[in-house]
Amino acid sequence: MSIISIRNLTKIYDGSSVEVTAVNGVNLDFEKGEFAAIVGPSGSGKTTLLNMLGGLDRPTSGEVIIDGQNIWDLSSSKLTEFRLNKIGFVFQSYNLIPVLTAGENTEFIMHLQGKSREERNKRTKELLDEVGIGDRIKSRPNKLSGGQQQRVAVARALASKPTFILADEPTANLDSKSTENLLDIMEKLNKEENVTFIFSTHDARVVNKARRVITLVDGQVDTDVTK
Amino acid sequence: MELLKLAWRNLWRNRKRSLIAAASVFFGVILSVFLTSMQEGSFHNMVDNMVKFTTGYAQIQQKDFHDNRSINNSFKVSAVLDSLLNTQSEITVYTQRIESFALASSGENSYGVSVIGINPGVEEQISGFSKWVNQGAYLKSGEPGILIGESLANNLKIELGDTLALLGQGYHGVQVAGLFPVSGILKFPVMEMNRGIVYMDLNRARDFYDLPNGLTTLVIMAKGPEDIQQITSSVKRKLPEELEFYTWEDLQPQLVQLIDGKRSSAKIFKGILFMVIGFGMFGTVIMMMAERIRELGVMIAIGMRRIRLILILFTESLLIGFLGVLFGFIFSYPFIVYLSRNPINLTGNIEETINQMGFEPILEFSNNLSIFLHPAITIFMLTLIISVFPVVRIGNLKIINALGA
Repeated sequence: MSIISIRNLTKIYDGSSVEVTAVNGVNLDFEKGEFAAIVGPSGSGKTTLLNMLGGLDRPTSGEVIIDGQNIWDLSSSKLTEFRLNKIGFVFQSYNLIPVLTAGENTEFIMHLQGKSREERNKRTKELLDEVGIGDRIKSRPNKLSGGQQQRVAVARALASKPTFILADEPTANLDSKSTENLLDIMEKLNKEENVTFIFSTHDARVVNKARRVITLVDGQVDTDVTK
Repeated sequence: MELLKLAWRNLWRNRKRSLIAAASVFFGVILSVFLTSMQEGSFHNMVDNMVKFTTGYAQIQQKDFHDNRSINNSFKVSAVLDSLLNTQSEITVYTQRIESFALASSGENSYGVSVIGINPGVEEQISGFSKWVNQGAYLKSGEPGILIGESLANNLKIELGDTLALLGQGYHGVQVAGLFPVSGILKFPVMEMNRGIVYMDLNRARDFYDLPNGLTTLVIMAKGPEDIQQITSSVKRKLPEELEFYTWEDLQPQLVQLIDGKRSSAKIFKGILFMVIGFGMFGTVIMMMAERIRELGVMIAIGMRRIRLILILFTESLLIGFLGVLFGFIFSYPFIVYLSRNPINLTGNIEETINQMGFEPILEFSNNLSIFLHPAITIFMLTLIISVFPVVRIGNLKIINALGA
C-alpha cells in the first residue's frame, strides 16, 4: 500500500525565450518505510521533483497524492498545515534557525503543531539523543559543526512525526565521517521508527545505503531499482 | 518557544543595526518630548499670564451679556452660587467685576471708555495689578480714586490728582454721572489698554451704575488651564438658567487661534522628525528581511503559517520602537519633571522684553502625560505602517525562490 503516489507529474519552467521541462510525466509510488534515493545528473529534475513532492513548488500538471490526498488541491494555508504534520525536510545547507539552540530548533515544529511543553521537551531530548548530540541541546547552530547541524536538521524533520522525510542532497556539504554518521543515523531511524526517507543525491555513499534507487534523466524516470 | 522570544533574539542578530535603529527612535522621542514640553509649558505660561491680566480662566455672566455688554445684563451672586464656587477645590479664587462703558470728559475733551469695577485686593492677588501703576497709587477698597491709562490721560490732558467726569447709562437706562479723582496712571504693555480703560473700586462702580450688589462678570481663577475642564463640568450644569459659563477659550478666541497655529507648526516639524525616524526603521526592516529571506522561506516550508511570520517581524519592529521609546522616556522624564518644577529664568534682553509685556520671564516646561503618550502612539502607528512591507513581502513570498536565495 503506497503512502505517496505521483501521477504524470510535470513541471515546465516558462523562461523568457524558451520553455524548460524540468520534470516530464513522472509516475512513482512510495511505500511506508522506504529508504529511497533519487539520483541523476545535474539538471535531471531531482530537486524539482522533490520540491513538488514536498508541496513547495506547484507542478504544471499531474498529481501528488499523500495519504490519499492530492496535496496540490489544498489551499495555501491547508498545504502549509499539511507540510507541518506530514512532511519532514532536511536541506542541503541545514537551514537551522540561527537564533535558536539545537533543542529549540528541534522543538520549533512541535511548537507550531501546538504540542504541550512537556511533550516537546521529552521528544526533543529523545531525538537529539538518538542523533547523538544530546549534549549539545543548548548550543546554537554557529557553535555546531556541519555534521552536527545536519543531525539537528534530521531531528527537527522527525520531530513532527511525519509520514515521510524529504532530504535534498543532505550530505553535499559534509565530510566523509560526518556523512557516514548521518547516513547511519538515518538508516537506524528508518528501521527503528519505520520512517520513509526519500533523498535526492549525487553522493555514491547515499546511493549505496539506499534500498531503492530511482534514476532521473531529462526529467523522466530512467531506472527504478529496488535492492 | 514564544513569538516574543524569537523576535527578541532576531533583533540582536545584528546588534549594531538594531541599536542604531532604536537610537534614532530614542533621539526622536527625546527631541519630541522636550520640544512639546517646552512648547506646552510656554503656552501654559502665556495663557496663565493672559488670563490673569484679562478674563480669568473662566467667567460666569448673565446669559445675554456676552453678546450685549449692557449693564442691564447683570446679575447678583446668590448664596447657592457662592456655595457652589466655594466647594470647587480647583478654583483658587474668584472675584466680581462690573464691566461697562462711559464717556470720559475733562475740559473740552471727551472719549468713550470701558469702565471696569474691580475688587482691588483680589485683583492684586490674581495678577499683581499694582505693577502697572506708573504714577500715583493702586486702588483701595472704598476709596473714590480711579486708575486710567497713560494714553487716555494724555489725550484728556489730565494728570494725577485731577478729576475725571464720567457720564454713562446705569441700570434700567438711568443716566448716570460722576466725578472721580485720578489716583493712579497705568502703563500697560498693550497700547489699546492704555487708551480706553478706566478702573475703579467695585463698590464705586456699583454706586456709579446704580447697581447695588450687582455684577456683570464673575471671574474664576484656577491653578492652570488643565483644571478648567473639571471646573466646567462641575459648575456649568449647576448654574441657574439665566447664567452662562465661559472658559478662557470661549473668551479669548484669538489666543486659542495663536496657540493652535503654533501647535500646527510644531506638528509639521514633529511630522518631519517622525518621518525621518520612520524611514530609519523601515530601512532596518527591509534589511532584516532581505538578509533572512532564505530563513523565512525555510520557516514557511517546514510548516509555519505566514501570519505568524508576519507577527514575528511586526514584533521585531515594535521592539525597536519600544526600546527607543522606553529609553527616551527614562532619559527625558527626570529632566522634564525637574524643569517643570524649576522653570528656567530668562535673563538679559529677553527678560526685559518679556517683563515689559507683563509676562513672567521664565521658560516653563510641561510634564503633562500626553507629552509622553503622543510620541509612543506615533511610533506605534509608524510600526503599523512599516509592517505593511513584511505583510506584502511575506504574502507574496515564493518558497522555492526564498530557499534558493
